[in-house]
Amino acid sequence: MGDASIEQTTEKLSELLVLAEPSDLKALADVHTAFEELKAGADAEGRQEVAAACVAAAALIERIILEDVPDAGAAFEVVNRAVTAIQAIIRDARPSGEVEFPAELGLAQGSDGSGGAAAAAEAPAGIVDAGIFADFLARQPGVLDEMESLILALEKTDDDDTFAHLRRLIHTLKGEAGMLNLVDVARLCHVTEDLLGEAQPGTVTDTLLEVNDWLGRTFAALSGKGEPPEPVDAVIGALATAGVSPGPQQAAPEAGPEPVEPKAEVPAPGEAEAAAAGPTAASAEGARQPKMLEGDADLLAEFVTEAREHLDNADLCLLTLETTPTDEEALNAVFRAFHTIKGVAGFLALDEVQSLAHEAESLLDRARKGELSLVGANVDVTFTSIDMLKRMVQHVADSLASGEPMPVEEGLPGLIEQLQAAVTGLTPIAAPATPLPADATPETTVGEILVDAGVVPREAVEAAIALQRELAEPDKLGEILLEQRVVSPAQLEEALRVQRELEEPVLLGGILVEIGVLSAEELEAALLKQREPVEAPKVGELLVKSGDAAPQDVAHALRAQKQQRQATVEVKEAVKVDADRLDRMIDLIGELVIAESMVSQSAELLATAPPLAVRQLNQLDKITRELQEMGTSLRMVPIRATFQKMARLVRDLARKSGKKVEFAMAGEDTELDKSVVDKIGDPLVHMVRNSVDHGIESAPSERTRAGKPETGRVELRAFHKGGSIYIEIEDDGRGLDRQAILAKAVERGIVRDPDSLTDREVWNLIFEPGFSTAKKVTDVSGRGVGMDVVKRNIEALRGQVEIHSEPGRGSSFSIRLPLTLAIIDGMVVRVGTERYVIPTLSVVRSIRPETNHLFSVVKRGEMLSLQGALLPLFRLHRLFNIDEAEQDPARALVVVVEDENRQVGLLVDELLGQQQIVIKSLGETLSGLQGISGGAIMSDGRVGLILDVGGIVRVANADGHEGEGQGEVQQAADGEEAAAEPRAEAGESG
Amino acid sequence: MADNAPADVVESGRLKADPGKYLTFVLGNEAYGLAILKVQEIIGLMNVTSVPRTPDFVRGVINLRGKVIPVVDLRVKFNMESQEDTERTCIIVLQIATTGHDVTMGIIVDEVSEVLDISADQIEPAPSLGGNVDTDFILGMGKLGDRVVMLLDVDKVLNSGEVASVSLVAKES
Repeated sequence: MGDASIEQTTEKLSELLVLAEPSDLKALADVHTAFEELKAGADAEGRQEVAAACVAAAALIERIILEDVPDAGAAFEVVNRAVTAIQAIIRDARPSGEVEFPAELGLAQGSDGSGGAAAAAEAPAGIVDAGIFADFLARQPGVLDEMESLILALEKTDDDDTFAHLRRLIHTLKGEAGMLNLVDVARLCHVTEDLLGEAQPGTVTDTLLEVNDWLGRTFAALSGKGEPPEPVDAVIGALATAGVSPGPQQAAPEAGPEPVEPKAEVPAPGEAEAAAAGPTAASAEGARQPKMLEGDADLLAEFVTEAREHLDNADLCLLTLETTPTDEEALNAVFRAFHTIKGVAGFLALDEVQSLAHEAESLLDRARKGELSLVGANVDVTFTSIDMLKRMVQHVADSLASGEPMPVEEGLPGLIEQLQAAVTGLTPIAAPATPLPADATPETTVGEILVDAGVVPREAVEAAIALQRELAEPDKLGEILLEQRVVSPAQLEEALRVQRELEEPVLLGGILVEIGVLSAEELEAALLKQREPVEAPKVGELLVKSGDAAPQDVAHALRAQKQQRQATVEVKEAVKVDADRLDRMIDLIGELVIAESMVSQSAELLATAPPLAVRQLNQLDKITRELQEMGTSLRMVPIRATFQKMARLVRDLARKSGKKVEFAMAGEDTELDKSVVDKIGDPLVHMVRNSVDHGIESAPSERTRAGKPETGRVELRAFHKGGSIYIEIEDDGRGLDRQAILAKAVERGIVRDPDSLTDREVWNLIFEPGFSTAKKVTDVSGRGVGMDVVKRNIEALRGQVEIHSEPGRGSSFSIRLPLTLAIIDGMVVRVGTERYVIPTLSVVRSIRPETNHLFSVVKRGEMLSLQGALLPLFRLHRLFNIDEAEQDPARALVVVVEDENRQVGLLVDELLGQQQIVIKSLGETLSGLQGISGGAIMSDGRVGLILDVGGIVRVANADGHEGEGQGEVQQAADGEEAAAEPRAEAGESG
Repeated sequence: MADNAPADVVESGRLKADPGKYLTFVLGNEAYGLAILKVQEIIGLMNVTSVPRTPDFVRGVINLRGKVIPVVDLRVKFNMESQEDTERTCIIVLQIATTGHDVTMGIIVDEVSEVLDISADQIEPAPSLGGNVDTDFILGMGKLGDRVVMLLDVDKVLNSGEVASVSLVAKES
């Protein structure tokens, strides 16, 4: 074939393309065939670049046919441009080097690695959650500004608070940088902290400002603005001359992941095998060099987001797997993550991502098939793969933003080797990774349930599952073709042999068309058929069919499974909405509810309305209530994501410190206001670090001696209690050392008389700024800054921290947060004309007191004897100056409420009922009220006040000191029922 | 954009009220005016939930379309005789400027009259009524024919010293 024939084919191709529409399957198939033809021609002439472009374009066409591209129009445009490029080469005889193929084709062309080194030098390596990283960067300019002003202030004054504040900032920055694997930043902060610990802050202003500037430049460079600054060692050197011996810090942060200077000319061992085993690693030839992005920017951006989600999820599932290796759901989820990333990365020509994902997928596939178990080194290597993929995805994101080439991941070849070793190390069956359909086998649980219930023998279930898996496998193209009798078995065999022999993988369909046994239309029909989801029979059906289980047993099992499924993890989709718009919508829903209740509860209207209208009003009422419920839940997010980060943190810290620590969490579905969830992360990080580093004993023998299991345990819990949200972190380590804390406190002059302090007071000492009993300062903790941060952040959320600790048994930190906007169950009580809401969780019981159970104590307060226990009794109407309340306790009701393990009785007139309420702030003008924690919109649209039990006790005690139950503020107890209670009379009470 | 908020000139003896549109309302026998830009809306009297341990001029809180806002009884605030609510009693919802941002708050008045355009030559300085009568929150007197409208500085009426004491009192207790 000469150029003429290629030229003809090219012309034909461009004609076809002009006529084709992305929706016209026939035309697309023709274009596909034309590309194949052209490829053959180009191959014959040794025009590699044309042939490669044809393959890529044909693949893209195929994806358009399969509706596998998000935007068929755009993809079609790419094909068009590819053809233009091919034309330029063939018809205009332009040298191929000058012609640019569309980047979206993902051709591995022109990987000249210029300028990669600079970009790589400071790119963050390691476990970087991009969202966190972006947040981190966004916050830094503010932090640095603050730091600078503090440094300058310190030059003038020697203020302890300012100094502590500066240390806190640097400490937090160090912690965050450490988490984000900004090794240099963390190191610098560490040295700076040392400096602050030793030198007078006023004398080292210049050095500190230099540190500040360096950090500023570094963060600017990381955000893609400006040049990366000089190496950190220069600054650290300057610090050293300023009076610090750069001692232990050198060693500590080295534990971070490998440096990221790209090392060119690193051969990629094992990639050849990878290419043979499955999807191609096209760039295997030649050196691994920093690579420019080639794919479509939008698709790449989408890939980044998607990949991150998958990887985060995989992280969590892997943690689950570590504790329960048999969890198939989790295994499948991890597998799916790698599989999806592999697929998309391949399309976007992210070869390295693809090959790594492929290897990891192979490993997991083996695990899924039960050919190897995911424990020990296998888990580690999977974790490492996830980490590296996260970094690579980050590189993609960086590269997208900056236009710079992506840095090379140096550890990649080694990791791939490890993965391959893990795959082949066990029962080497020549099974290439054939992905199962992505949504495989949640049904197994039905089998489990049936087995557990003893209804069906395990063997039967296993057989059914095996059968099902077989049925669920999407039919191979060849099988479909055979079934349709389009090709004969012999022809198929031949095509498969050709496919195996070809070096570059060519799609089976292409071969069949090429050898002429299949027309393009037939291929297309078969491909479409293959795309149809395969309806695999359910395990239950199979069991019933085989007679192993009775239909009603399966039905029971299914019901049980459904309940379980509601409790299991779901990957939730989310849409980002401006919080203001959300608030506005919630307000509007409130308006709607009121307007609706005005209509549907209007006696006038109901009296005259026809029955049909009444029914419709009822319907409207129902919908409105539902809408209201929905609306109120919108701002609430589960704390799960924050807890997940902690899980990872514990694991990493444990590895770093060589301790065995097991992490558990409970109540991760507890919903909190979004803003609270955002702010609680920082304190939790500090507390978790504290627990792992200080709490858990370093030597297992120390634990066994104390009669505890070798593996330490850190548990994170979240729950609602008494109208507050509690977040608790508990460890079973050595507990707080009362003596050491006291000794330190005396030494620092905080405490004079150590013996007079209660345990609680002692524990609270650790929240003092700069308080630390640690004998050595590690890069994890020990400077005593962390707990100070914890306390401040939690106080900023209007919360409290409480510590319980038992020497040798462990400690627990309990964070109590108010509900800023949360839905709680409330008990509605009436006092006189007023209604109040008591959080149901605070309510222990309610009783009608008998007169002989009431005692007055020194005319100050009243006590109620309840089953032998004496409780303080407070009359709400006295505390709140409410008229017309029931004065006689015997005719009123006592609600026993609990606050901080203390029970008190509240005297109210009656209980009105229980309902779900949404807590609303009373606004800042009324925010300081004691005894009232907020307002709630009641079902009738009016505001109900929510009682704060702790506050009531404080109010009552304060009043007690001033005399019998008289508040210093007299208040106009207006009639709520304005019509029924003449206002003039009520208003006079003030 | 012209700033019609009358609160920015605060020099004693001078006119503090800017000419412009004022919402006028009645309390007892007296007519008062508010700069219209302060007014968010006017709503009929609704059920007010009284809040314990607040000053008596705070009638309580209401649910304004899902938002809880405090409501001040202006009669009580001005030490006028209380009077039973009538059909004309209503709540004027205001945006009160505090340090930094605005706070939504309601005031209960006997009756809302009309919006008046008051020109500069109709405004006279607030009278001084002797040392023990605080006229600081009066921006000026609007003279409209034979009527006199007291132009209020609502920020002052409901601000710092007064309403903040709501929470202050609560904190002390």
